[in-house]
Amino acid sequence: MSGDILVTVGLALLNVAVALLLAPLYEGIMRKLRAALHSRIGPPITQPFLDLAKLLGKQDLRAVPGKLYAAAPALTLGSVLTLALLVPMGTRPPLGGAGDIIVLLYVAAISAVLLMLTAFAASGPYGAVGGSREMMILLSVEPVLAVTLVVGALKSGRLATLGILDWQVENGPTMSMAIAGIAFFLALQAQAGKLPFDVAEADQEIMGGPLIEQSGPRLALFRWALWSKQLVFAILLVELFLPWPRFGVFPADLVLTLLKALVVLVLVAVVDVVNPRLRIDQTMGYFTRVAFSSLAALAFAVIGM
Amino acid sequence: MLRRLCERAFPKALWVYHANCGACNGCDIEVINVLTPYYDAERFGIRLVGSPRHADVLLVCGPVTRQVAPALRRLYDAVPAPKLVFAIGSCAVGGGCWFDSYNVLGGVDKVLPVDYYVPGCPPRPEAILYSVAVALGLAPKKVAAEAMRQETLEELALARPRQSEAGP
Repeated sequence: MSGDILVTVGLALLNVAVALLLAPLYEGIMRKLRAALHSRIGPPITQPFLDLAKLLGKQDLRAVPGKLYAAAPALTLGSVLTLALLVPMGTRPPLGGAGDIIVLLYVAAISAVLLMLTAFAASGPYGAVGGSREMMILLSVEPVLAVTLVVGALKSGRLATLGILDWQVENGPTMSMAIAGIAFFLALQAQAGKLPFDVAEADQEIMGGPLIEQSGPRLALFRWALWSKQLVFAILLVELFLPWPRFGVFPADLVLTLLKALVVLVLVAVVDVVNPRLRIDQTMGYFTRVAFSSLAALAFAVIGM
Repeated sequence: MLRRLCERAFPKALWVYHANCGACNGCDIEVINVLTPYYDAERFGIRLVGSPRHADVLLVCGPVTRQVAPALRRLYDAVPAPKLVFAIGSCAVGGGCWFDSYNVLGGVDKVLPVDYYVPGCPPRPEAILYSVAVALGLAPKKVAAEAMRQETLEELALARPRQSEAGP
């Protein structure tokens, strides 16, 4: 029993380390790739680490007093790390016993909600616009995520992420899961805050939106949380919808998963470079259509395809 | 140790905020030029940010009109320390063609402590990038510091020994 707990704690530490340390590295690779597509040299791959170190060493200027506001960046990062514990990375999720895909959906929403609350609390016009856009994106992307995960649950007959993963490995690719996977990828683009769906931050338009009033360490924690979130979602995508081939050996599976997540994020970066930003109403319309299309996956799953 | 790590990361990840304080737009256009893919300032970790809260560097153009001076002061206060100020262009350096004019303060250093001066009307993008490279320690200074003073009588005597020997 105690050995089991030790393994779980080890897995938890590993998942947190992957989410914390690999996320800036993947972001660095994405930035390098973006620079290459612009015919630039671009920053070194370690640039996000440098950015984080610099921001952590800067002065913390706060616009608003209050405990929740002060704790919001740490809570955001914490919620994303909790999400990392619910996602399988090469093997079972360390916190899998505590929650299934429904808990996962709720935990995934916490970081966006905290970001939104911080934006509204700071009460600048750009922050307010960014916060409301964040809310609208959350409202339109969440149904897509829910439907795609429910497709998995329906096919496998289980709500646990590990159950869906095992069913996928056993039964191979299916029509409904492929459609759900594509819909999940489109939702990932918005969850990662990349073009064409970076309406909430929109650096050239509303100057970072919800993050506009955040300085120094607070900005660092928010950025770190967002990068970790995009990596965790990419890992969730490859684990639930593309888990093949599965060796059954944990280190090999972990490395393969991380490589597949890198490929997914590279795709995200390419889509980011070649697309202009959509308006918020276009984004919502787009995801409404994606949500309805992913209902097709649900229909396919019901008739057993 | 962590503090030192942060200090070492600072020059490698400078985020700039661009402030126009009454410039004619010439310097603004050159600053924007620096950030285009052609000059690729991002390879030094330099990024243009839209909020002073995110900024490490203020690029200030223009001779600082009387109207904009209080706003510039507030802008400086909104930037979290450590921070650098670059005066971009002849006007920002010392007033330029508006020197001693009634409606301008004549230079950014009348309002803020300026760390680097980039003269030119407007400075070429290469000059702006060079100034940043000097600030980051990537390039040596072209102009060495030089001090002028009056020679003392002893130095003068040493410099002309023959004359003093020829005397009575």
